[in-house]
Amino acid sequence: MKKEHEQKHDQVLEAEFLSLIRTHNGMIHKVCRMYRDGIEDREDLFQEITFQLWKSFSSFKGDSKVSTWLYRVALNTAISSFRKKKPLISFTGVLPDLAEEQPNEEYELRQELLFKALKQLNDSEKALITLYLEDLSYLQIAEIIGITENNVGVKINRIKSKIQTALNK
Amino acid sequence: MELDDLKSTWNTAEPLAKTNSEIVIMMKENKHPVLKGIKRQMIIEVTFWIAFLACYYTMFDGASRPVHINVVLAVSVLIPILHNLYGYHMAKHLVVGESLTASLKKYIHRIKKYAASTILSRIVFVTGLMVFFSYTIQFNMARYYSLAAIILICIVQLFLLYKIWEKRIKNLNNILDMLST
Repeated sequence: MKKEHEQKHDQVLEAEFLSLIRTHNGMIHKVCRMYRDGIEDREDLFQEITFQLWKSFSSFKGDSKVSTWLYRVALNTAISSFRKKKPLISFTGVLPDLAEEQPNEEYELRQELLFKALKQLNDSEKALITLYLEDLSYLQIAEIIGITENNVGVKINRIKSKIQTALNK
Repeated sequence: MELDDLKSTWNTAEPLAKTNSEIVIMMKENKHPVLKGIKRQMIIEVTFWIAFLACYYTMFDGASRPVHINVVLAVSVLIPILHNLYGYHMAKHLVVGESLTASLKKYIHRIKKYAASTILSRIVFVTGLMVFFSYTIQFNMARYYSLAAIILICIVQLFLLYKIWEKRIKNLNNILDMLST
């Protein structure tokens, strides 16, 4: 049986982790939306990322910023984990309650356009643009990817023009 | 939409937050989608092989075959099970490295070894079964043809398996190249 202080330590660790996931929930969701198409696939990837983060959370030494570590694990998991081969049609299981919430059409359309353009990028470009859109500096991006700051700048510019072309179509 | 609007649109894409209980479930190993699948497959395979090994001695004339043939069968069954355990370990430890490129390099190295062991364990399994079941057979021309057809089917399957892994490794290598050059 675990000793009392060990149990307490585990509880503190778990509480810290839950708060971290809640804070970065949006970023993880966006990574899933970039790298997977179906709702179920995205949920599976969200779970995979959460699992990989939790597994390395206790050994995370704080040599880098928490966010840097989090982005690295999330993108790494999205690129490395297996994709399921499934039909593109998916069912939510429940009917949407129309009266409850009317989506903002313009907001929906803009997001749709953004993700449609981003989906045309390859996996390495998706990683770079995610970090750029998350407002990380070139230095931070270079640290996460493991390349030079100059190289980040060149690649980001190339990706931006690729997106611009996609948006203009 | 202009390029300048990208960040603001990205920032507004906020989904519904997960509840604590949902996150806690996701942290558990036995709720992991891939690991759960591998575990289920292992349980089915182990149960089947235990049932097979329990009755092969009498039903498939294990008693009438020499010890080394029985050992070949046991090893050919054991290796795929050990290989599944290796796969479970791989799926559990996806990320190892100080940066995305360093981690991908290590992952590609590990997945190459895993792909080779997948093909090898399949060869050991099929060869072991064929050696065991063909040991007492008196071969004539028709049986040689049947054996040749079975071997051919196995070779085609192994080739397809190799192609699947080759494609996956090539894809990961491309991502790594595009990230680091």
